[in-house]
Amino acid sequence: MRIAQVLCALLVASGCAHAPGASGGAEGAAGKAARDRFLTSFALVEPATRGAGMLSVHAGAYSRAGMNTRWASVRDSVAVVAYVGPVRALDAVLLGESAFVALRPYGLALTGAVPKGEGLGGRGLRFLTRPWDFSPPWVREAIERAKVEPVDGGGWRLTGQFEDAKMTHDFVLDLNDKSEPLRLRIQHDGDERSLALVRYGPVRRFDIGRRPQWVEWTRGTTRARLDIEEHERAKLAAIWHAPPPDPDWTVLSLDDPRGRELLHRLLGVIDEVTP
Amino acid sequence: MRRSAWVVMTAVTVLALGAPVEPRSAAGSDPASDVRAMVRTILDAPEVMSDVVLERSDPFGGDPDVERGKLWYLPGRGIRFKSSRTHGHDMVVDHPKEKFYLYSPNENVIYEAPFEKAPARIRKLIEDPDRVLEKNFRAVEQSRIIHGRSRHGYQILSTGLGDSLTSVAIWVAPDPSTRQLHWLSISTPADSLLIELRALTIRKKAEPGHLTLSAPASATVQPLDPREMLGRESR
Repeated sequence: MRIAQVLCALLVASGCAHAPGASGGAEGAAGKAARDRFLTSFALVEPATRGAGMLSVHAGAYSRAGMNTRWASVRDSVAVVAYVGPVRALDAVLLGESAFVALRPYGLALTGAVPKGEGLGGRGLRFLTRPWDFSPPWVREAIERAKVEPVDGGGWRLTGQFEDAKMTHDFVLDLNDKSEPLRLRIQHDGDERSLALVRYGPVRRFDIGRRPQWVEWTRGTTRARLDIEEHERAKLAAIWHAPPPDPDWTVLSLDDPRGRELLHRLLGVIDEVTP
Repeated sequence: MRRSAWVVMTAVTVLALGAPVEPRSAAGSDPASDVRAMVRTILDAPEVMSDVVLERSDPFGGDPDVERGKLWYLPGRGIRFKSSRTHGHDMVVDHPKEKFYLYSPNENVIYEAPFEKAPARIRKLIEDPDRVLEKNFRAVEQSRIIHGRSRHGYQILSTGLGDSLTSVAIWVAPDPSTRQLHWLSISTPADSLLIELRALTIRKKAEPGHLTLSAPASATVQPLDPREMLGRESR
């Protein structure tokens, strides 16, 4: 009996001696439960959805606040339209790996395939345009593999890696004590600089389910915030291209270093490219 | 900023195109002539002012967005649209000053570009509306339900402007009592814009001061220049 108690104490001590996380112990179990709650709420496959809100963007010399914004998401496509007053000011469309971004007041457009091997690539861009949806398998699996630790003051920190065949990106996802997302930081493997930082506002119930009231993206000097007013199922079978640019526009290809640099500035997603 | 303005003014331009001989309405009048008459008073006026309600469809199936504002059109001089929204924008295309302005109250910034940066058809409408009237277009009568009521109007069939309007459907309707232009609908495959001109006023004399932005003296001026976005090489 005494030996059994000692063994039991050793086992408990052994568990407690591990770093807090999903690997074991009471905290590990609590962390795993927190992660499961998070995945249950925020990693369900979204059907076709649409939303509306107010967008502000600050990117170098470009700065716009109070843009009435509409977006839709269907499978691997995302489309965003933003208006300044009565004017359609911004179109951004991701159709699979193809991107089209139009800054209409500037007569400026970007088009082409998201370069492979840079930043998070097309799938990463799609995730970052709807960062409340953690259902893509590569995102969900990375979160399932992540180390879970409690955070002082409540909540949880998930630390892991997004991986594909060629690259690895470290991430840190902070959850509050209700397992709701607070902050997601993504960085290159071994690089202290953030590739992207996403902050999430308080969660509330929309027609589509529980989602953040606002989302803010930051990378370097680029910052964009979307205050979400509507988020619901959409009756869409597909996303269509945005209206084409006018003939007198400057249209930059993503093959063009200037085009890639502009995309970096606007979205703060893929790595800097030296022209 | 430019596209919606372009769409609005393109539509006005389309309305101003000349009238062919077909087709005719049941009453024997020529729909194109009806439209032309409806719009001619606007293009020939020294100045037109109107309260405006813009109803823009959600391109993804949500409820439309409604914005109210005021429009000033001074043929030969310029165009201005001022939103009535809190922090709404104020936009001016001013030919004598050779400027294109957009004031953003949220940022207290006036974005400024040369007149030639304004869309070509807006410039044409300002500079030479009579020349626009020389073009041809076709129209047919068509009623539409607007806010639950049937409105008698006209569908513009072809414009003579060619290329860029082929995917734009335009419908216009008068105020039944004044016969002045009251409704204007512009639809593309992606979305649509319904414009209601309320309390349209034809002024006998132009007031160039109406093309003045509402920006306070503290507003800063920034260029509306794409080169700023293109990085070091293009600066």
